[in-house]
Amino acid sequence: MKKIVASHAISGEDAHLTRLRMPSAPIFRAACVGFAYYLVAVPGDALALPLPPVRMFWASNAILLAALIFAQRKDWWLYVGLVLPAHLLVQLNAAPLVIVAIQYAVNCSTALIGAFALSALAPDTRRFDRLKPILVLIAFGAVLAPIATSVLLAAALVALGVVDEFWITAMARSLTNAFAILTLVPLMVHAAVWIRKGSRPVPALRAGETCLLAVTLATLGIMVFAAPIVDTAQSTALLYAPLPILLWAAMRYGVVGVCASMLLLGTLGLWGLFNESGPFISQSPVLDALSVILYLVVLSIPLLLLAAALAERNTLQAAQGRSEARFDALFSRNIVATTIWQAGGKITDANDAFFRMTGFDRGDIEGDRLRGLGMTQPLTGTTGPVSRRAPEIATQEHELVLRDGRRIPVLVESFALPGRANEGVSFALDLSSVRLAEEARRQTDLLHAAILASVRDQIVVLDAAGVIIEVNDSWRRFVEIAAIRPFESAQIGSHYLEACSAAAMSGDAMAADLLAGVHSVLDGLSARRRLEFGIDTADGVLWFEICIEPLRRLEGGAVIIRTDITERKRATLQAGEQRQQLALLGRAAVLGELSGALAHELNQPLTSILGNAEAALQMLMRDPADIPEIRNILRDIIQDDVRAAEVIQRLRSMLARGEIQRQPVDMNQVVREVLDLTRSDLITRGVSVGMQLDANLTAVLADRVQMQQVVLNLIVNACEAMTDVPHGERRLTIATRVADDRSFIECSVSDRGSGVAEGEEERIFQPFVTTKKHGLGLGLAICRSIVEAHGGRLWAESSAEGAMFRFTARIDA
Amino acid sequence: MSSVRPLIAIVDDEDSVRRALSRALRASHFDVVTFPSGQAFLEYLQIRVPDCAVLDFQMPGLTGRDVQRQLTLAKIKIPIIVVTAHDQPAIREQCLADGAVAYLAKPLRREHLISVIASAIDQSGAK
Repeated sequence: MKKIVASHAISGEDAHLTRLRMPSAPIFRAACVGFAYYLVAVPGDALALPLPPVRMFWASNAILLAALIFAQRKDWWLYVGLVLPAHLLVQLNAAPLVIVAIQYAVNCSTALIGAFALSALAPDTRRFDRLKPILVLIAFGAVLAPIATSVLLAAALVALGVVDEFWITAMARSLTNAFAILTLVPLMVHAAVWIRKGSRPVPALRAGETCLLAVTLATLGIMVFAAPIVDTAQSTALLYAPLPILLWAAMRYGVVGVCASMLLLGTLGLWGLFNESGPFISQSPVLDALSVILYLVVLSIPLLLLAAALAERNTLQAAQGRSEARFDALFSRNIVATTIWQAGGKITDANDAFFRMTGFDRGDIEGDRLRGLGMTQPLTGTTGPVSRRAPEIATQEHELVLRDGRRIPVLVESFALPGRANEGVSFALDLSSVRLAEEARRQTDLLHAAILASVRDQIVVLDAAGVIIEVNDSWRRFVEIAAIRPFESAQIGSHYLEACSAAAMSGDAMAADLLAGVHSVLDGLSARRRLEFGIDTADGVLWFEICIEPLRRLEGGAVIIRTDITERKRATLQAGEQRQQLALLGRAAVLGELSGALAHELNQPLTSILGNAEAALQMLMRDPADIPEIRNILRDIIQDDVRAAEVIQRLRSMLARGEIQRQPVDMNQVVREVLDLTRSDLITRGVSVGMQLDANLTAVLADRVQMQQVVLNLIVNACEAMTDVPHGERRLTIATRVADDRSFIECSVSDRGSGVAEGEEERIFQPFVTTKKHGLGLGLAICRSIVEAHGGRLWAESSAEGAMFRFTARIDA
Repeated sequence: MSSVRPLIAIVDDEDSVRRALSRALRASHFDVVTFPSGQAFLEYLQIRVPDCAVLDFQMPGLTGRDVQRQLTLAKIKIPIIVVTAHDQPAIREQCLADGAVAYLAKPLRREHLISVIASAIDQSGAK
């Protein structure tokens, strides 16, 4: 069997009574009620009036009514049905079936009328410590239902000849049912609530008070109803004696106290009747009994009403107290400045937030110095009782003057308090920080706009779809005025990428590159893309650099920055030309220093050619001429001529202005060619050459002539450095090797001179720095420029044995 | 000149020059012996002293001037005609001061060379 539990907790203010939920179907509950009906009907039947079939205390109807109060209306038929067997068990032996049936019908009707009235007029309120339910119970359950059904029963009994006196029968039944319902129904309902809530420990004082009240009431009851009659007048006067105790019970114990007290008095009254004592003893036991019951009923009704009214008032007072406490807490602890004001503009109260915001204090409120602050509104709307409509709310922004004279912007919302004709509430929100933040943001936006407008570079911002979302003034001017790129637009909202794509498809290569770059950045494939392009105009070529960067925000996008680099490009090109010219001058200067060697190289083949030609002429004058020998001579002449042409060609190529031509170059071959060129000079100077050339040297991507120039310059410098070295000790060593990381080759030229002065290793590469008497000092500067242009390095190392100049060149990938 | 053909030494590191000059002189009724270096010439002198030597000035190893000095030290009297592809006045002065009978710049005309050689032989024969 499941444990009996209540469906939800009941609070002191909660008028919703939780239905006692029995673990099984309503039929079980109805069966229990039927059983209880039987249990109380048996002793009730014993308390018969001398006016059968009326009983002096019939609790069964009260039990049925209490059960119907808890049950759902759709289950009432179950309760009524299951009460029948109990009723039959009690009544069938004592009366004919017709009478029993009539009584059953009347009894059920009594309970049903009361239950129906309660469910219709006080629905869901099953506590009787409220005025409305107790009124409905009294009016319908205890008055109308018993009277109506008693009249019908009396009529039926008279008609059947069971009784002779209609009114007595009707009145007796009405009063006895009324008393039972008035005292038992509230008691049973509240007992059910008490059981549902669970027992609470009763304070000792409360228990003592209860005992005192019960003892006092019992004593008085005995004195009123059970003491022997000495004086009728005194006995009658004693009827009022229990009244203070009953009032005490009503005030301190509510409806439950009144019901219990009345039951106690009723018990004592009935006991007195049986003992023929009390103020109502007369000739007729029926009238005596009716008098007692009438006295009890008449006493019960106002006491029950009083108890309910007191309880309701206490409940309302407690609720009001809690509501006010809540309001106070909300008011005083609210972080929004709040004031309460009266019609006319007088502020009567304010919370701490208001004082903190304004600098005022309670003294200013009491001194009524807060009028005109703008914290109040003219009151409109209802007056009198609380209206169920929402109050009108007035909201406005204005400046609030603080105590120190400062003004702050505030948003004030005011409305009249519901149910109060002359009071209102205002909330004031300090907008200072909001305004400051707005102003700061506005300044920031202005600054950003100014920055964009001031930047000379042309900037366009695209969203993730390639639509223009922002352009700066430079871009706008460039696109609208220059109209160099017809597919470009300055209009925010235009599809830049689509225009770019269309231009690319029509053959615009620059647009195609731009499109690829923007897509790469938008797709996250590149962190940055850079393009350069030139545009032919009437004023010459204009150069632009485009940088595409991702727009650093969650939604993505790209920023395109276009910079006019025409001047920079022209300067770069000019510098490149100047460098070439310098290089040419450098070559010419070096070759000038080798003029003797060049003359030697040319004179040798010329000497051979002349000698051979003259010899041949001599031989032809002989008879016979030595034709084979002449043929050999002619071959030698051709060979010497070719050799001379090569020297001239080499000279021309060294002096040629020509553009830089990078091709795979074997540095070993370059070294050999330069050594051929300088051979006579080396001989003249008495310089011996040692070569340590790496046979597996990898080709480098370089300009052959420029590499020859570097090697030539270094060889000439090395020879110059050994001028003061004794003849047999003048040794020049040229070496080549592949660097360890295999990305560069290295060439070194070392001499046996005095080396480079300490600290001069870098200075000697500066332009116009020379140790030669007639030198320009550009040779090493030009060589370094050439080497670095090839991605390499040129540096000097010095030791006691002489100087070594090394340079590297990037290997051709 | 005697009927015996004079022996002329040609000392030059350039092979084509030796061949050309050799042909030119042989065609002019001289006997010629050629040497690719000064050292080779000096070693030959221990066997025979030519009547005249045409000596290139710029050679690897022993230059023409070095050979002149060696001859002076060895007191070998042989007319030396210095020839050079890179004529420099200072070198001319040095060579003549070192005892060279002539200093000629390349390219050499056969007639002029033969004239100088004949004159040099005659002068040395008269001594």
